[in-house]
Amino acid sequence: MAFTQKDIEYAAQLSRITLTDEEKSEYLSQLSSMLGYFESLSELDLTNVEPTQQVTGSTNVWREDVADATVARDDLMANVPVTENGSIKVPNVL
Amino acid sequence: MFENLTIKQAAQLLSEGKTTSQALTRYYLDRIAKYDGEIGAYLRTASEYALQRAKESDERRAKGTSLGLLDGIPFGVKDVILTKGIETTAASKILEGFIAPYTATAVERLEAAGAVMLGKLNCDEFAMGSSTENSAYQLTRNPWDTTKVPGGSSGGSAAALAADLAVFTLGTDTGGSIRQPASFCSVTGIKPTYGRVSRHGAIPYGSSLDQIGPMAKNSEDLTILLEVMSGPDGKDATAVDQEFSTFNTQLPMKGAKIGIPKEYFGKGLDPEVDAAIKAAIEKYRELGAEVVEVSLPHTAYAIPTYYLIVMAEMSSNLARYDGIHYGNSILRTGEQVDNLLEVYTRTRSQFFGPEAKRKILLGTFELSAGYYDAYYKRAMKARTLIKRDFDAVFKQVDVLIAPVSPFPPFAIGEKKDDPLSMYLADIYTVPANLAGVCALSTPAGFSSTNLPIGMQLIGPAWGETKILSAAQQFERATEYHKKFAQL
Repeated sequence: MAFTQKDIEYAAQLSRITLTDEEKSEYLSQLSSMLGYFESLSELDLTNVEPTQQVTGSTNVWREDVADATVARDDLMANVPVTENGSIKVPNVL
Repeated sequence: MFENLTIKQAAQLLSEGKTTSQALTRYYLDRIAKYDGEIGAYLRTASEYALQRAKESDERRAKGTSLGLLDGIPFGVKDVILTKGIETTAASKILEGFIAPYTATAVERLEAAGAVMLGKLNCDEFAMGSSTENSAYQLTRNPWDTTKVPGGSSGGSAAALAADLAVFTLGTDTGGSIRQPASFCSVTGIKPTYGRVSRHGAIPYGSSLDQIGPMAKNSEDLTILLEVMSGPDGKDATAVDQEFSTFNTQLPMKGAKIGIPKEYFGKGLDPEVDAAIKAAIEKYRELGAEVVEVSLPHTAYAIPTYYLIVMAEMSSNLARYDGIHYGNSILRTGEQVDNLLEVYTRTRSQFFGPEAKRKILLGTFELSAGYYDAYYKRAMKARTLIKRDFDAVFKQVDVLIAPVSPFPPFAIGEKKDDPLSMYLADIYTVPANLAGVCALSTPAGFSSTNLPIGMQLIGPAWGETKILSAAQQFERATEYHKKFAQL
């Protein structure tokens, strides 16, 4: 399955990245050859094989729904690029 | 007195009063100042912090309240691991200036045992890479030959040990990122069983594959460190409660069964690496082990399986870098930004490096509507088959021996422009991450040009004591781990 310029533009749009024309053409050839290599998985007979999402076998690891303040608010806010009156400030959404 | 100290040697000097933690810490800080300009292992040192912690250690010792073996021992931390109050960048520009608001559990536990953190170590951006060349900040050179890479992604962690810039270091391993640099720099490193060490505070790359692990100058040190680091902390739902005992001969060689996976010794393996591993296998025979050929039939599918899974997972994990909550942002540059979408696209486009972008693009594509089943879901099923191979093989043998890398350390720049060829170099390390089993690398020889060759020991899930014991016995019978780079 060929990986085309349209595919790379679609992926870029979904992942909120803008590519230069140079990046598009460089990545297109690199990613195409990778995907081509990964096609070898189509050789496998995967009928009735369950997917592995994680290997520990654990399910539903719970804790009590109690808030704890182990990370200080000030330490978190100190990393915010733009704040105003203690709030995170962003440009217009719409 | 201070050259190439192991944890036990350093601890002995401290307990016998022959030195202090402050003197030891200053030794490493001075060496970093003298040699790290050329090696480039550390992204930043935290000298004041380290000397303060060293002072506290000396005060405890003077009062007779020393915390144990690790009290006062200096170490370095890979920069994908959060350390409160200290800049943590994952070697990416998108986290430039980010001050970690909390400390990873693994580091917290080591600090609670008294260890002294020296600074943050260079790596590939977001732990993606096999040479540390993807760091957005600086190059790290292999101390054994500074024209060669130290391996990756924990290249700084390995190089720091090889250049004697710390007693031990922390790395992370998602597809070989502890084992391969350990092999390239002639040090030891272990990827614990998935779920052994809490990932709380490790910036995620492939969440179903990542593990934080210790790196040191021998396997005994790894055992000491793993005992302190492991166990659930209530903050990582994938951490499992499994006992880890440090009794050191958990696997006597007489009567041990060692498996040689035939798929790991075929085409593409450098003859000198092959010879070194074969010699190691002979050594194990001499020690009394029974050596058997085994098969991991789906090995050839490990690379596509790994990369499809890790790219999908990382594309999701890196969605959080949006220029809004933390990290670098287009909003910090003073440029005009018209709307929210631009904050995302301009921040991510400007501050992610090329490898991050490539993987995000392919990961996003394979998870998108219409492609999910063909790529990601298939890879998850292939992963099941790979895991089954290991389950079956560990019913026949105790541990496996294998190469770590198909070749000795390669030249800086040699593979940078061919990402696929770089990926293919991970062939022997990614299977253990896919299966979730434990694996380590320990020095097993040198090439004809004096480049390090490491040996991989792979064990069943929760079988760390088996591979650590096998490694220790090999180390007792050989001198490779006692050979050090001349700077």
